[in-house]
Amino acid sequence: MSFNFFSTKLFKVLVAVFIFLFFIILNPYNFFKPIRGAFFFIFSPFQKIGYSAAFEFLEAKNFVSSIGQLKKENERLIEENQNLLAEKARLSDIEKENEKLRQEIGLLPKDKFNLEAASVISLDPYGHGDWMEIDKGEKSGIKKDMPVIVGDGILVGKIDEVYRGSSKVMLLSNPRSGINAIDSKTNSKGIIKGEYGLGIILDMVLQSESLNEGDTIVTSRIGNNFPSGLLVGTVDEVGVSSDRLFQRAVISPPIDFSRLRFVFVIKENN
Amino acid sequence: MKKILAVLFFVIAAVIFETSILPLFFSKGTVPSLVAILLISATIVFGFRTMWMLAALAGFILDIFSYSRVGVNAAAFLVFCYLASFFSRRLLLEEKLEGIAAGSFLVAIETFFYGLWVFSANSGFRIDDFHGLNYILLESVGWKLPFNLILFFASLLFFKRLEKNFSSKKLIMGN
Repeated sequence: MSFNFFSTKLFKVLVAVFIFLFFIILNPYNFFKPIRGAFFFIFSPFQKIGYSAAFEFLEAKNFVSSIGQLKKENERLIEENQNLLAEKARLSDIEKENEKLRQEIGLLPKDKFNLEAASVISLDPYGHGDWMEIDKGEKSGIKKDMPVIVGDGILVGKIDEVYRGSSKVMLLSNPRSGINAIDSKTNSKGIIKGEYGLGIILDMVLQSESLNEGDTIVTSRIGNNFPSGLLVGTVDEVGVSSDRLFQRAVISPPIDFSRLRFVFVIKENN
Repeated sequence: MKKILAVLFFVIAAVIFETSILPLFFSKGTVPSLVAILLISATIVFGFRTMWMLAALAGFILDIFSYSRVGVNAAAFLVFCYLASFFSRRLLLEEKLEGIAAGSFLVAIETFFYGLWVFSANSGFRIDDFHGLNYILLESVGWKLPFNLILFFASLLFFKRLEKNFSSKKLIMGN
């Protein structure tokens, strides 16, 4: 019996791997976009159900494990509530002043955004690309590069790819995010992007500018389609770039991007 | 036809589980490679000839759902299934301890090279991001390995039972 290499499993693997390598190197991403869109159109409801069920389960688990702490928490909240009532009175004054200042420096009031609420339906399983998928797409008027926020204006990322009923959001922790930002206290300018293992970085800050731990970083109007004043996070650690030309800071975001259920897409500023 | 649809359903369910459910329970970068591990253990039990086309298909579907370059997971799964086919006899027939050692070695190889491959292939084989590479190899892989090992032995047990069940049913039908 003669040995036939072409019928071996190694031959099959080699042929298939070469075909896939060809696709990987050429990367015809747009060629596969309709297939991706069709898959997401069919399966995004199932992704949404899976994600919501897992989220509810986690919430329930956290609730059960925290029952013992509830009494203490309740006492603490009562005290905090009293403090907050006093704080509220003080803040109403500051709010008026803030509104006036925002008008002066051209920032938009946060309630003037045209927001589209969306549910998160999947996350990056590798932890490299740092993306999330939401259940709103072209049908809801979502477009590429629209900012994505949570709460009262905490920036999460921007829209990267849009499909009919879903979109891919590039998170701030993605190395390709590149969003212009400023230190709200010192006005130092830099670029926000992700870095593996470190999280979010404010990069390209000139050596002559001032950057301090604890400072708040917000989006800037320069070069962005984003509204200015969206919260990015606080400065955790200040250092210098590898070429020693710029300062860079590790930014601590106020929320955990991998534990979000709902987000808002800013469609336009009213 | 029914069988193909059932298999397709399980593949898509596993892919959705890996992208929509597991990332919530594991911290960034430590999400177990569910689909890859299931394919490897299934190849050990059912053989390469049964599994290779399914590996390519599952890889393609995961590429679609995980926004990877098409072919990244498909090529990786084919190679892992090919490697796994050499471990079959050792794991199924020989001493338990040797089986466990061989299985652990296979999963360690998978975890290490899969992380490296997905990272470099998705970034267009850029090798300038040493910090990223270092992170993937040391931090991410270090935490991922124990989860992958548990998943591997659990799924191997499941597929072994499934195969036993099928073969005993076949015997009954034959009689």
